[in-house]
Amino acid sequence: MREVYADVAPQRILMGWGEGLSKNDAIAYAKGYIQRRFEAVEASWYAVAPFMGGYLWEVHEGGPGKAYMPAVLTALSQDPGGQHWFPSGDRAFQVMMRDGKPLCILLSKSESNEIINSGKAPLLPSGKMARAVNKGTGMLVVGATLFGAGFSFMIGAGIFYAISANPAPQFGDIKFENMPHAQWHLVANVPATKIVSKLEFDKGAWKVETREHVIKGVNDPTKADPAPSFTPAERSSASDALETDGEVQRHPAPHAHDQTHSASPAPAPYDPAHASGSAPPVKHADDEAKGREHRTRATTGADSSPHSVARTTKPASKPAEAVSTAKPTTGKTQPQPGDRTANAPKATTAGKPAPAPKASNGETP
Amino acid sequence: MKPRVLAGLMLVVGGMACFGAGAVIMREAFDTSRLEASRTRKTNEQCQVRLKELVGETGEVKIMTAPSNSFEVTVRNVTDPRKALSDASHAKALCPKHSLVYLCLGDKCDPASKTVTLKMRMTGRQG
Repeated sequence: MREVYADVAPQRILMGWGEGLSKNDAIAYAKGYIQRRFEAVEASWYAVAPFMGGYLWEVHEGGPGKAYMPAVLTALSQDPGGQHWFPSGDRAFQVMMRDGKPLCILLSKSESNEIINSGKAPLLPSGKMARAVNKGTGMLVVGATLFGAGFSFMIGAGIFYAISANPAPQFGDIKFENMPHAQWHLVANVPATKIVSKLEFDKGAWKVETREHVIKGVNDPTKADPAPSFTPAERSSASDALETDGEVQRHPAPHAHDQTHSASPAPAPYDPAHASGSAPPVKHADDEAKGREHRTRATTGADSSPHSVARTTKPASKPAEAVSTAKPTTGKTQPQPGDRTANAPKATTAGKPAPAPKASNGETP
Repeated sequence: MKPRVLAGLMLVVGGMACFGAGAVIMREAFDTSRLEASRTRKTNEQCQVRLKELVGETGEVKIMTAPSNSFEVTVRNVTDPRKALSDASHAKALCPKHSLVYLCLGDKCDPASKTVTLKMRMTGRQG
């Protein structure tokens, strides 16, 4: 017995055959036998198999649930005349064919000892058996399967929601330093000598394109004309002409420059900061006219226009020595507000030469 | 009731609950996608309307076919460049589903015009 079952052996094994039984009848018969004859019902097993127009049934009390049914069917089919046996507890269970029908007998103690000691090999268990009483394993398996499927579905739905249905922010990844209004600094500090042709954003980068600010009729404001040199006679004649006429003379350019630059040791350099303030990023038609006027004011010494030079140099253009001897000129030329050169004669009546640089410091209106 | 049967029943109930929760999540996901698509479409429509209001009569909003869902804004005779840049930022805020891919402000931006012109091109972004 222990040789057949390595671990646990059934306490009792019984087998029977019913002619004309159906499978369900055979199962009911086996379960009924277990209920009536076995004590450990929940540890019992059964198996059924069709054989010769009926059903063979097999029941075990205890044990691992391995059936002798396949071995019995094979033995009866291959050796119908033989007597086959397998252990059942401490006794032997014999199976044979008699009158063309299978016969199953649980031998007595003495008969069992004879056949056990006869040296004839017993049949070996190999088939599967079903439990007589359901422990709920099937329900557990079904429940576990359903739960696993449902849980997987829920996780999958969550992943789907997170990937495909999770709405993105209404605004993208905005970098405020790349916004258009934040690019003003790129054009705000462009020198007044240049004009911004375009401020462009392309392929993720901002760039500024500028060009020279050239106004027709006006010289390059950054290059002041050099101070011309005149003889004292020329300078005196020009001064006399101004005094005797009593009004502003529209001198040719050389004289005008003489007036201006004689009072001023050097032409007023062009000062972009003074001239421009904050440079506009883009010049348009109106700016051009304004720029011309602006440039003229800022670059008097470089302006070649006789009219503008004469108008602006009258009060300031008198040489220091000439101012000290002449009457204060009050003619038709009125000092302009803020023009410090207009008061120069009053300040020099004591014969002290007025400081020439003050007379024309570029603050001409 | 046997423990295994009880456990099996509980697992069945839990499994059904999981199926139900998954179904709710899936429905919510589809609803959200549909709402998001609808919101994007309405946002783009509003974007174009507001842009036309922003650029006024001197401006032009041109809907482009390639790439799809993109448009080009042109404003000519710009007199206040700084305001034009602010308007460009404003346009980007009005169209959150679009990305600014090109902008040009100056008198060299439009070969056909010698005045200062603002040109900007925006394309629809995914998501």
